[in-house]
Amino acid sequence: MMKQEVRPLPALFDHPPLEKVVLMPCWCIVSLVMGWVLASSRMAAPPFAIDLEVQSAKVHNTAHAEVVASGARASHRDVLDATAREPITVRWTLRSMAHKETIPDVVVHFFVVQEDKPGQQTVPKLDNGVAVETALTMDFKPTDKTQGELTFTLDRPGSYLIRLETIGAMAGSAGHESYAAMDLVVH
Amino acid sequence: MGRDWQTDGPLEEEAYLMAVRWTLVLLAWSYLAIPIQAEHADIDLLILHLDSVTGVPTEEGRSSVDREPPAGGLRPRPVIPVKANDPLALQFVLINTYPHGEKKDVTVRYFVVREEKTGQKTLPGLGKDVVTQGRFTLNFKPKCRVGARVCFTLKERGVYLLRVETLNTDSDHEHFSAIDLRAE
Repeated sequence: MMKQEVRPLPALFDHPPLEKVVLMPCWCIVSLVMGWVLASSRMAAPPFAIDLEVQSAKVHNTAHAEVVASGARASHRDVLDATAREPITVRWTLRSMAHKETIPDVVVHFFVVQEDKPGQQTVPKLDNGVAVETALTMDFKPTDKTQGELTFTLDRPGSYLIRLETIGAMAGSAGHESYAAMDLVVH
Repeated sequence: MGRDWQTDGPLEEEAYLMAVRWTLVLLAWSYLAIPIQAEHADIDLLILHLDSVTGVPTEEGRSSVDREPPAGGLRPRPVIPVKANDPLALQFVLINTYPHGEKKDVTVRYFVVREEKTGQKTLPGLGKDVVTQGRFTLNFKPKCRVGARVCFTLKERGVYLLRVETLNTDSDHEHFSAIDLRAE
């Protein structure tokens, strides 16, 4: 039976002496931090570019793509004001940012739904209060895009979430779902 | 000086070959013709009445796919009575049934617009009389889908055209589905 070599603990961890870690050159730490930031931003890069433009009689605004990250809070959404029964036009463009791969069977889902308050974190269920809902399916080759333009009116005052999102992109090479959203307060 | 069809071997063979040739020609023609003549889209269009309190939808009318030309399609479209100022919703699902590859930059357009009379063949202009409208541009792959559900109300009595249609399919015809709404 072979005798197993018993090594001292520092050798097992194989880490440098503490003073060397503390005195690690600043440039090395900066490089590590920058590398981590770049790597994480690359991982979170939206697989789709989205422009979601909302226009009422007096104002208009555009939201852009964000990535659905597990457990992360949605970022701040812009809020637009509108008057009940005035025409509202939404234009959106969704373009694949993939360089080589095709992202198949993506559902591009758009909806306008009543919400409790502007900026709320949870997306309302789409079983009630949905004013507009559309969906289309498409395979996205590199730089492929789809566009939509809708004009509608909202009769009931209140706060509405306007959101364009992908469904099924996570299953493909994209690895993330993308969305763009805005709040609309109807007076 | 007729020839005996039963006993004349070379002529019988020639006739057989001719029959085979014509059969192949017919088969090739039908193969090439089917993609041109076949339906490229399946459309299910509904007009829904929404309960003003609960929002629960009730189907008021439905229409399936038709084609142009001829203008206005091959079949008369249904005329559905509705009430002005009642909450309504249009709903459609369009399925691309063209099986021969992808079509680039196809447009699917829907609209509700005031028209002069039910069943009119000419499309009204999509200007100030539009109640609601939308359009999508996408690459059509076989069996891809486009759908929408949009709430609206008709503020004034009159006749309105609800229609969903394809554009730019690079075909000799386009598909649509339509309903006339008579708001009373």
